[in-house]
Amino acid sequence: MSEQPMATRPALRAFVEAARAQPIAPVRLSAHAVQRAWADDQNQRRHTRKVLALGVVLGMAAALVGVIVAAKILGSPEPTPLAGFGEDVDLDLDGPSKIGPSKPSPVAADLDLAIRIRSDAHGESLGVLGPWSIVLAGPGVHEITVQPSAGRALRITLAEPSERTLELVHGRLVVEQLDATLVRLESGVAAWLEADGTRTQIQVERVELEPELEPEPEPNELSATELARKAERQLIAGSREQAIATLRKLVRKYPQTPQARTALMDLAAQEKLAGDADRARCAYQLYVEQWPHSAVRAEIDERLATLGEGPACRGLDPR
Amino acid sequence: MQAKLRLVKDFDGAEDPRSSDAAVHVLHPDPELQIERARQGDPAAQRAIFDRHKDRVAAQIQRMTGDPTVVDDLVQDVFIAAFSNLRGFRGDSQIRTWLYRIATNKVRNWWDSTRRRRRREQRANELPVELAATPQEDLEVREHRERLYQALGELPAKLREAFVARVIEGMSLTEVSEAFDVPVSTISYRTRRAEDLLCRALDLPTQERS
Repeated sequence: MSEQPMATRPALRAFVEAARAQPIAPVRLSAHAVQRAWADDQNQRRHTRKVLALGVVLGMAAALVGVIVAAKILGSPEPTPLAGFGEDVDLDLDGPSKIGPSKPSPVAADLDLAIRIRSDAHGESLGVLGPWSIVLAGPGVHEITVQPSAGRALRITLAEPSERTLELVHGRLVVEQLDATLVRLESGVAAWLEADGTRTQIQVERVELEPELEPEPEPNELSATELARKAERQLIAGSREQAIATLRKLVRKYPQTPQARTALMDLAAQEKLAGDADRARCAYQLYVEQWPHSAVRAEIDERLATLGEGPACRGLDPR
Repeated sequence: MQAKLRLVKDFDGAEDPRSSDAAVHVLHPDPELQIERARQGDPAAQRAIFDRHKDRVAAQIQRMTGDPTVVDDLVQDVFIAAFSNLRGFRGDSQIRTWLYRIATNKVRNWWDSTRRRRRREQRANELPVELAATPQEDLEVREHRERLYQALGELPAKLREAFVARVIEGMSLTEVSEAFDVPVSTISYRTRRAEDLLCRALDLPTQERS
């Protein structure tokens, strides 16, 4: 087959023979398993492509919005609301404002999606002047939440009895208009807009936030390969405990996969390094139970002998 | 598309490493048609390609890594990559050679990550290597193998790959040259250079065989 099949250095021959003497492990992988993994991989790639495409679209949309806002700011003689985003907002509290009093428009408008209002007021107590402008014209309790939006702030006109205007850049504000008007900023940034155009910042009165109204999205289920890679990253980062947790999850969720097979070996080694000999023993025993004819069976038996005896195992844990 | 059937021993030259002496003639579909059908996503054709080549790929992976426990994972990675890139397979190289190149790349990645992990673990734990109590002969062979693969892990990838293909797998210069798509002289140089470096790493004399 070959012109010079062996090493030309005689001293290497024993090493090469040793490598050649190692029996080839039988492939336990089925074609179906590979096709399933391939299909998973294809789905994952499609998902990644979609996320990337969505990111590009959102990025372009954000850039477009930025251009429009900039054009409006630069080109329009009309005053603009507070510019700012999050904690970096510059309220210009002492500067004059060109904002005049708002007047309700006869045409109802839709509020921007960043604004959410819960109100017990009825009828004309709550008026929408524009996407970023409302008027509270009558008695009621209004809970107003504004998500950060670049260059935007919600202007709130309190028509009666206080006849004042304020701007909510982001956060949560409660306005109670009964006999008197009470304004409570629970979080975020807001300011009174004085008649002379200056702004006076409203202090946050209560910082503890309520739980998010929308539930946290469930993290996507990770595949066996993804869990294996996650464990690998954790091991590289030196996070042994996290890696052990990931490997245990992989073995429990995908017990028959090739990844679980490798994971069990890694898990046993890591459990041992972590000082938990019983758990290491359980991992090795589980491997032997699942793959009794493995090419590394003898090696595992030796490691089990080194670990010694201990309590019986139930899965990955000692009873 | 109807598959043409023909009687062949080995439609693309692949050999089963554990049954190379078997002179059994097997009925296979036309390999080109099979690849074309797999390229179009035909699961049966994909399965046929996998079943045909899995043992050869597994043997290559084990000889290159010296670690039987990673063979299944890497075989899976190789065929996932192959199925994903079948459209790019031009057919001007044998599928066996093509798979060999894919497997070589997968093993190269494995060596990189394994080497990092081993170094990290050695630094972090500084635990002595456990040598199991086995009969002396086995222990010696295992020690040789362990030391060889440890030294191989420290070689540049191209030297390691040439050495394994040429010396451990016993492929001919022409085969290795074709597999790596480099001249025969380059393979010869890489093999000799790898041997020199291995001898140094293993503290062995570097004198050549006459």
